[in-house]
Amino acid sequence: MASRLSEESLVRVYDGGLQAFRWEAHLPAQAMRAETVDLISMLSLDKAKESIQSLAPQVLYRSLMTQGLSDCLDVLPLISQEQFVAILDYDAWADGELQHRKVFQWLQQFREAEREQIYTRFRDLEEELQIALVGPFIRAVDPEDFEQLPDEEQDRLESFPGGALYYEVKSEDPEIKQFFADFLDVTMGENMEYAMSVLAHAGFMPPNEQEALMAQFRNARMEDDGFVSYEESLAIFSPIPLEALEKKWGSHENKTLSTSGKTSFMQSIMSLAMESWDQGTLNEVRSRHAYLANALCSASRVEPGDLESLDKALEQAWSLNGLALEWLSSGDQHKALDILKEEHPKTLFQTACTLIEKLRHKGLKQLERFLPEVKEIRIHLELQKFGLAQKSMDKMFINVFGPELTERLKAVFSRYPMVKANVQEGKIIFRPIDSLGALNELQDCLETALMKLQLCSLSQAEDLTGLDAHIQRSMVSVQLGGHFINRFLTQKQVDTWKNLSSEAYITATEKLYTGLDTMLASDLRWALTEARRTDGLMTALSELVAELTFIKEQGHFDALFNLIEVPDNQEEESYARDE
Amino acid sequence: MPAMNNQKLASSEIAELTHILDRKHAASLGDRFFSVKVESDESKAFVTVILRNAQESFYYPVEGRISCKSQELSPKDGALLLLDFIDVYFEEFFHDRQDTWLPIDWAGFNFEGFEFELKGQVLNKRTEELADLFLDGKINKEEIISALK
Repeated sequence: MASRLSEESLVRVYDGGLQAFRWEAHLPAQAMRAETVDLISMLSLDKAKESIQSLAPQVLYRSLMTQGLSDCLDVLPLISQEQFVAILDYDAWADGELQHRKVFQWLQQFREAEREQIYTRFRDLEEELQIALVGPFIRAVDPEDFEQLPDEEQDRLESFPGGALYYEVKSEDPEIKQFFADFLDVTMGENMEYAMSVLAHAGFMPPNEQEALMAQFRNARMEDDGFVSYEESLAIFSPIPLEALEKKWGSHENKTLSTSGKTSFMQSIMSLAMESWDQGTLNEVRSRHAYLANALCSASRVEPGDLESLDKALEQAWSLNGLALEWLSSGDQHKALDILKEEHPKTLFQTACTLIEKLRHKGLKQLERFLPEVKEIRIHLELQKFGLAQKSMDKMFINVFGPELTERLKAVFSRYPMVKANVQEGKIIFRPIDSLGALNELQDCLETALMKLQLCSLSQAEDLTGLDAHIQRSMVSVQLGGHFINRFLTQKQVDTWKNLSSEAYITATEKLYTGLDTMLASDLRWALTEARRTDGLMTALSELVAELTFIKEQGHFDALFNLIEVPDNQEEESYARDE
Repeated sequence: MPAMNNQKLASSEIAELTHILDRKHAASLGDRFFSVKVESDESKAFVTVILRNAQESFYYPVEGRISCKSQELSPKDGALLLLDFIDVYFEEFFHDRQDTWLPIDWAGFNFEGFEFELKGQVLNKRTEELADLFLDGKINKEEIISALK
């Protein structure tokens, strides 16, 4: 299997939680979106340089990326070295490793803006970073060693003026070769001594040592922006005690879940906030949410430079905080506004996670009663190993629940839990849990799964007949106007069913489908109509209905034996025979 | 040197790879989905990864070809290498707000020490189809407008 398209990579995607599902959310209010500025307009300000240098590095980086680097070349010479270092921290690292090419691309952009900037920007980087950048690609040879080399190797080496130092670029990558050609061209012209020193120094340093040191410096700087360590990031998703918050804001434990459902509570709150708050307060709340989104990155496996995913983390943060606000304020928008102003977004986020976790934990415990192997999923989820949990769900649930409910359950048990919004082109589109209504839907999904398992368990209590017979007799019961319940039929009921007219049978079967549809939620119809694509319970149900139709049409009523109540004395006889 | 694996990619493996591609990028896909085609013989592998929607109003085939024999790769490994690189490309494509493009004609790339060629161009097959119908006189302007709504 291709290394990037392996099961392990899929587990990582599930683990992050932001990518593996199609979901829709958009931040309706400007105040909820990540901040950007119009850099090109800023160039025309009197104090353009000061204004640009006063921007927070993340705002500057986002603005550069949004407006396009090629359109912002004139901005680059104006940014401070501190901002440039922060930009490299965001953009030039992946999985904790320095991405040399990314740094070279940035430096090339500076060269395009102003030729000597490729040298000055590089020279002003931390020494460790300079060495980490040059070391892996440069082989330096001093004049003494050069003389010992065979001719063909000597021919490969470039020389500094006067043969003071020889060097070779150890890469076949044309982009890297071009960078060193441009960098050395400018640097030699500006400062020959420095050029020689950096190459000689980098060429003789042990590999990777400087990069490891730089990774530590970078992590420390990133924490100032909220990009916390993986462990700290995981902790944000952990449930917290809610009693103090409930007491503080006068919330009540037994509040009923709203069924108003699909409107985002946060959306109305932010509309109210924009009417009643000043710009400073709005910006403060916005930047605190951006800080929270940064803190979620590590657990969500998002690199700080991945703005698309960062936006998704931000959307999830706002959505979940909407749920927390609705719950804490009991739906009182003015109170919710006070809570939003006073409580840190992280506290709100943890409140939402706690509410969801309570439902998920309860749901899993109940599922475990029917499917003991669910314990494995529960343990993975308790350890926040969402990837492994979802991989297990893929294997364990598909034959029980069919593809659609399995997908919905996976979304419920995702790092960022979601519920079904709609279906487009046969694919389920999810939406975040942004309100008590959505939380209610999450609960519905768990209950649907439980109901299906209860159906399956009909056969567990009595071994005389199989699951098929139990379901069949429940179906006959419905066709006779009764309920889909686990109860033997009487001979009289079966006789009535045998004598149903074709018309009445069709009507009754339609009623059966409708009844099942209502009972087992909307995905049943899909499963029944798409039965060929489903290996799970729904296929079995469809087949059983077909079987009943066959029995009815062909008159093979002997097959109904298992549906009829066995008189007590016969049952005893049957046991006696078996023994 | 280890023996070269001459196996080709099985259709079940291609289906699994397509599934993983769909999953990896699910949140960025919207109404689009991936499909993967692999053709190979002893000496070369040819891979097409298509990102498209059902109406084909967005239809983005990314094609890759690699000479396997000359680089001591099996056809299967050659195809997997192309798929890996195309996945890297789509990652970049989605992270860069869908503004990272490939050359529309074959161009050389290098990945993990192997050389191959790639090309890709976004098409709107729906519009093209309507244009053909219009040019053949089978539909009029109003019908085009209503079809594109």
